[in-house]
Amino acid sequence: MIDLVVASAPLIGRGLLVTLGVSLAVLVLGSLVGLAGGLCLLYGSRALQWGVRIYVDALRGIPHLVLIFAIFYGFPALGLQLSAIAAGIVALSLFCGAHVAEVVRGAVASIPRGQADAAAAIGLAFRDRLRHVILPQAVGRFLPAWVNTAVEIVKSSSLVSLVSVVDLTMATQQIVGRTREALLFYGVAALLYFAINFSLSLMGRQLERRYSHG
Amino acid sequence: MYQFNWRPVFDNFGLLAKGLALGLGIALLALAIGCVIGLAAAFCRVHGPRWARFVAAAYVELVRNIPLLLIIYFVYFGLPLLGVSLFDNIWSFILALAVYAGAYLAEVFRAGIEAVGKGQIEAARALGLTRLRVARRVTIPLMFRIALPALGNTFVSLFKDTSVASAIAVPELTYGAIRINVNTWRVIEVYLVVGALYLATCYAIVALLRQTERRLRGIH
Amino acid sequence: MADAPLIALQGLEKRFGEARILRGVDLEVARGEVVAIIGPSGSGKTTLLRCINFLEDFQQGRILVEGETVGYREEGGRRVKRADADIARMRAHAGMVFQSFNLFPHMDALGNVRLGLTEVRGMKQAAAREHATAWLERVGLGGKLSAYPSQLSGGQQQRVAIARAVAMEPKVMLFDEATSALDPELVGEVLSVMADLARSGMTMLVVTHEMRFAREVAHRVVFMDQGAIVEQGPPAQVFDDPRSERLRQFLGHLSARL
Repeated sequence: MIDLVVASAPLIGRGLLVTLGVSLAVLVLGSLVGLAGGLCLLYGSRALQWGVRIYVDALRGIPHLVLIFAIFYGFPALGLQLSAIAAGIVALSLFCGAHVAEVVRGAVASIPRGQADAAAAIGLAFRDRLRHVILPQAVGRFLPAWVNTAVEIVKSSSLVSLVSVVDLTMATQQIVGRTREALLFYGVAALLYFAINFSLSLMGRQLERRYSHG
Repeated sequence: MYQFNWRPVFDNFGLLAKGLALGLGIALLALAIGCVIGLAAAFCRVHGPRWARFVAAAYVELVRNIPLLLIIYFVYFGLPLLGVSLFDNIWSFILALAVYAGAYLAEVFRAGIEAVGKGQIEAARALGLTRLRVARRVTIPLMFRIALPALGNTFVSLFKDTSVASAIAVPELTYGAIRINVNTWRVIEVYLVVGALYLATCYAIVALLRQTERRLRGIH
Repeated sequence: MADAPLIALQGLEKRFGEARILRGVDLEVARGEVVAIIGPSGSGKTTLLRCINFLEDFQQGRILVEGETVGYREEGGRRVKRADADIARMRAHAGMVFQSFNLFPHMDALGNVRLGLTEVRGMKQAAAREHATAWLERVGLGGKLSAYPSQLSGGQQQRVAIARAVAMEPKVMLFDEATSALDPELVGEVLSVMADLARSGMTMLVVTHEMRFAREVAHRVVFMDQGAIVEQGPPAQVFDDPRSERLRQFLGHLSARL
């Protein structure tokens, strides 16, 4: 049995890399979009707030897979060429962005009003209030929820296998199909996903401890 | 320019409607079974002996960190390879989704159990109720009341997760979209309609839940 | 002009929806004057204070601090809201101490006091540290420079908050029920810092329930009820010879509680 695992290791390894790569890309892109979105929700004009609200609420009602398919099949129909992996990343990044926007908004909104008042009272202008008082405190509240988002993304990344991207899930399927060793290889895949997400959670808890104050 | 042609989608609307109904049914069943699993796991973690606490915690931690798709594949492809071929694709999915939901619900129920005031349980024990009776008549009802909003949100989540069932050809809404697309290539129209259907259904469920919550709170 | 009041409120009107929080309030505060503002809850005392440094907006009237209008410029008969930077500049000249202290939890005591000095007054790091240290010593917390708010008692936190506000060398200090959230045994240390400030000639507006402090330290006591100033005068007159029925009732309730 060990030699089976060893023989399949390259395929599993490549799949794992794809999963990690897709997850990382989505997390980075989505967090940037989400940060902008969150700031718009908090401080933007009426129109901007409205627009971001619609974006966040709309995405909340659609399954991830539907958007992945819509982009993967839809873009070529509109004349835009998009690889499967790119389609998956774009779709998942949109979801990540919506999530993160809410997390950012929630983190800042949970800071007591008095903090902004005190910062304003000593004469700090808006940008300095954000920089010195609000955002440093928001980070500690933002991190746990953001790590949860990261874990969800790693899990959602498995959906790209349904547009034929060979990630960890697809690789596992192929190997099980060939070797019939279901328990072994589904077990390995589960362990790998678990390892990734569990380490993310641990890192998150460490970060949270570093950034939270009395 | 892309030429819009909505006819093929609306000609096949029956397919989509049936898929939507199936999705709701699957989500409901998975929620029900998941509640049983989750309740059991939650009780194990709060009141159970050491080994039960460990097993329940392991289940919850493992399932919450792996993709639903992996669980689906294991149940549908893996179990038969191990000699267990009881389930067709629909029931395989329901089981997989229930196991997935159970892990999440276990945490919801655990918080609920711990939130039920110690005082109320002590009062019940003082009246002479056995542990089981206390669980049945005091802990569980109170805990459900606390957990109700989370249960509602879980149902919406599960309904969205039913889209993954299309991977094993369960004829729910997303699978319907795939089929119409394959036959008519009206990609934009299909996914716009299907997206709108999911959105509308999710919002309808949320609105219904909020009404129910409000009414229940009035009864308090 | 030496005679012009430092602060002047003219016809200040603030509404919140249908409710009139402030009903055309007029008030003048001279330089160096300590004014205590008393009254039942909901009388608008806190809102009045918060309007002065424009933490609250108002619908009608003007507020002048050293002749400059707060929050709005006046252009050709209409009022135009000032730019954010302008408002911030004016706020730096009024120091505010809050009921809930509002210290920045991610900075130690020294950091809390230094922030305004470096970011608003533009002081260099070394000068700011010196200045902040001096003020923290002045309020009796020289040994707590690197303590975080979570490590300080309520009274100590409020004293840091006072140092934070005063270090900016404001023209006026605004105290919004500075001792109401403190345990009784910690109230004294804060009141004594406030009295010390008053003696040094700082212009102060103090919203308070501490009547003994008002009597001993204030030059003038203002009684507010339901958004308007009902009566005002020297402490002896207001406390010992109240003219209005509402003030009598208010004081009567207080002495009945003792």
